[in-house]
Amino acid sequence: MSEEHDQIFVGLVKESWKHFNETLNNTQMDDLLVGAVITSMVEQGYVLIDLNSDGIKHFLRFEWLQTKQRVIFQLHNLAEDLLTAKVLGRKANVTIGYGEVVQNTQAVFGALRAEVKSQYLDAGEPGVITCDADLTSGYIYVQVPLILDLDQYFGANWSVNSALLQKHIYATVQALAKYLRGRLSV
Amino acid sequence: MLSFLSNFKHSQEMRESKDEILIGELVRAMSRLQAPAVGFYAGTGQQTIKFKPINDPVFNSVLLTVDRKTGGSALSQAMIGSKATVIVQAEVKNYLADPDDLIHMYKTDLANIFKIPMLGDTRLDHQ
Repeated sequence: MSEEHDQIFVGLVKESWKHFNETLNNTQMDDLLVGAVITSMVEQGYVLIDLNSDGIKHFLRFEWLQTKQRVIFQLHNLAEDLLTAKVLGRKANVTIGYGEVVQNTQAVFGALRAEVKSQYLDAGEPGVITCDADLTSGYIYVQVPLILDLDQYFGANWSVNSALLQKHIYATVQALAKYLRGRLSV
Repeated sequence: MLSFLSNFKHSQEMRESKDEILIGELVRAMSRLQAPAVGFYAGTGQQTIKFKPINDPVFNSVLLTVDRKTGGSALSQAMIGSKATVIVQAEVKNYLADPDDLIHMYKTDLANIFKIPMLGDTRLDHQ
């Protein structure tokens, strides 16, 4: 094998890496989003207390230790396929929930009643705020699904616009907190 | 529970979340060093996070593995506290493809094959 053939082979490998990295960047978008959300929340003062995944959707739970307020996330990358990402852009279905400990059980059931009664409520539609509760731990949550354009947060070469993501999460959590307190008449 | 709330272990104590708290802080610390997390891998008793150091001239990725040794149970935490080891792996990609260079590289691998890195020790591994 001559040196010339060696160089041709090296060139083919180099080109393969270029194509491979393009696909890899897209498949890593899930984890990049998970990492960016963790960074944004920890920067705001929350601690990560739960992190799990079913392989497609990723679940995160944070707590503000002093007040026990919790924020939960369900992250689902809608453009895992490179073709979809290039044609439609990178989008993710992000459900954000905000929860507080409520001692008054009557208030919890009162808040949940509307969801249980409604047959027409589609909690999958963006912007629909729903209540939910974990009665064992005494937490009541309100949650909202959103479809976020990931291109505004993640640039080329793995750069992350943390400030913008942090601002969007903060605004959503504040809106949910206001809604929850109004619902419970706190 | 009506929604994705059922995906969380609500009855777990804060003691059980110490791994996650550490992971959260590691992700933030690495992010401040311009190395966003690009991979999360959970194994039995240990969790690994892959970071991509942006614009780093040497490293392609850094892997941090959190392995909690003690504090899994309330008794263990009360007796010896929560101790975890953090294994740091740094990856350099040289994109070697020249057959002559590859043959030369295997000599280092053979020399390192039985080396087990202990506290603070390092091991060089080619893949």
